[in-house]
Amino acid sequence: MAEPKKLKRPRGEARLLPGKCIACGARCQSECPRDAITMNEKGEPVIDLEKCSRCRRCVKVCPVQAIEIYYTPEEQKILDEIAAQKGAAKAEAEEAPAEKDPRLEKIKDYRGVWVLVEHTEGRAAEVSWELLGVGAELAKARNVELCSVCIGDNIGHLCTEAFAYGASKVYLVDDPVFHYYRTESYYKAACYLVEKYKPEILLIGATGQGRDLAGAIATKLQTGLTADCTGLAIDDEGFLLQTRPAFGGNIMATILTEFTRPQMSTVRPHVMPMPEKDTSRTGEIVRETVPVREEDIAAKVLEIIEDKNLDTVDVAAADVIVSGGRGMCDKENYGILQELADELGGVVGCSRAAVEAGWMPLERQVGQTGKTVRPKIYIACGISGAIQHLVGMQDSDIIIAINRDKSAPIFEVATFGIVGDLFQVVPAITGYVRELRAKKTGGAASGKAAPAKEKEK
Amino acid sequence: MRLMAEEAVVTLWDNAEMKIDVQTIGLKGSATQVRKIFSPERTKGEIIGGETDEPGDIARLLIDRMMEKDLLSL
Repeated sequence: MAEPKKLKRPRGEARLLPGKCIACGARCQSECPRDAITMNEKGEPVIDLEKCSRCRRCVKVCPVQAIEIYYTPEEQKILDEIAAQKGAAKAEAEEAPAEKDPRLEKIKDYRGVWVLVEHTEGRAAEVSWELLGVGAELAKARNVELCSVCIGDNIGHLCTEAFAYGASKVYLVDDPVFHYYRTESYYKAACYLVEKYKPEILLIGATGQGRDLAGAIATKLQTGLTADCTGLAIDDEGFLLQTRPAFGGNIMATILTEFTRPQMSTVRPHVMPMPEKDTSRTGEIVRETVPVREEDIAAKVLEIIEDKNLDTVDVAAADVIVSGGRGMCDKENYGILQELADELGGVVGCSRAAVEAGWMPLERQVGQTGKTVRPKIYIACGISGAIQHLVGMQDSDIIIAINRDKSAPIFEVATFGIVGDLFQVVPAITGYVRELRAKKTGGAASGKAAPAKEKEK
Repeated sequence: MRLMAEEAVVTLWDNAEMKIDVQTIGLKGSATQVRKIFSPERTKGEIIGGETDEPGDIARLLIDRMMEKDLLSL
């Protein structure tokens, strides 16, 4: 049998499809391993075909499929022939030659998902356990261990809690030098552990302390950090897909740390659901002594002074939030929200407009510059729903929006929308809830209403 | 009165002085890369009391609907 004629595979040429480029910010340029792409004044790529190796990385990275590898009709014919000779499946495999990047070699030793446990004087921040929930999914997808890192003084009990929330191993650094949080001591300890045990993923809560620490660690380790992620997943190639709102929440971006490890993300409190606590779980504790000495640290904590004027209500922890915005018109009017909140066993929150008007304290603010909340019920009264507010509450289980303006953007995220006057509707709801409860209990004093999930069986 | 800022001479340093490896700065030097951008997904909710303006009716419709869907218990 005669061998089929050996055909030379045409290279084709990378080209920009007219009118499709959105000038996303030179992603193709930064992706190109050969520096074959420059940007013109419109922010569109100009491809140097002399330098181009046809690796297709730019084609793959383009968010709007504006770049393609073009073959002339003659070349296409040759391609078709090759495909016919080799069988379609094989030709396709060859079409995307897996050009292994040498930078991937350096990171292949990194394994495992780590969650840094934040605590204040030994009391853990809940976001740490929320991260163990999502961390468990990532660890499962990667088929690796889920570990916690506890750094502090006299914090052995945090290990037990970490196991209960899903960690199978805890790296424990327990030393008086870590009694108070200080950037220098904590980031050095964390970096020491990372360099020794090489985790592929490191998750940290996006709190004041976590943001400070994550930045310091990523800088020291020269790795990528994606802040305020709202979604974390593993892709087919095993990379961590970090999704976060960009441009004030108007668009979502999925971000990758390809060539450096660990892949670091911070996540705000209440963005990820709290996993089930199982106190019967145990795991391995790895005690570590890190070379950080008191005399090496420039900053000293002398005393922690609590702010006595601080609002004690934590909106982020509430199951029901009744929030008011600019439409409340005045500070006094928040009384009707408080009444409804009391009736539903919730708290009163607000939008930024209300804080700026001086009607509500900053601690009650929900949104991008305030708290991120995901209560069971969120009632937005007189809040138009600027994107900065929406990103702070759109993951609530049920959203009820009450607004006069039927075109207000708040209705786009609402489960139930009411177009009407909040000053009439809110008291009416409060009244009806009271009426129903009175009917049910035969007029006797009773407990609070509750979101359905919490009701007694 | 003219502002001092208007006359101030600002010294400009560019990479001729800084001599930073261009591979380590800007987009090329970033350890993170955007893989994809997309619009946030939203599910459309329902409007309560489209036919009525009476607050009492709206309140009843809302609460009854939530109880019926098991979203609230009193």
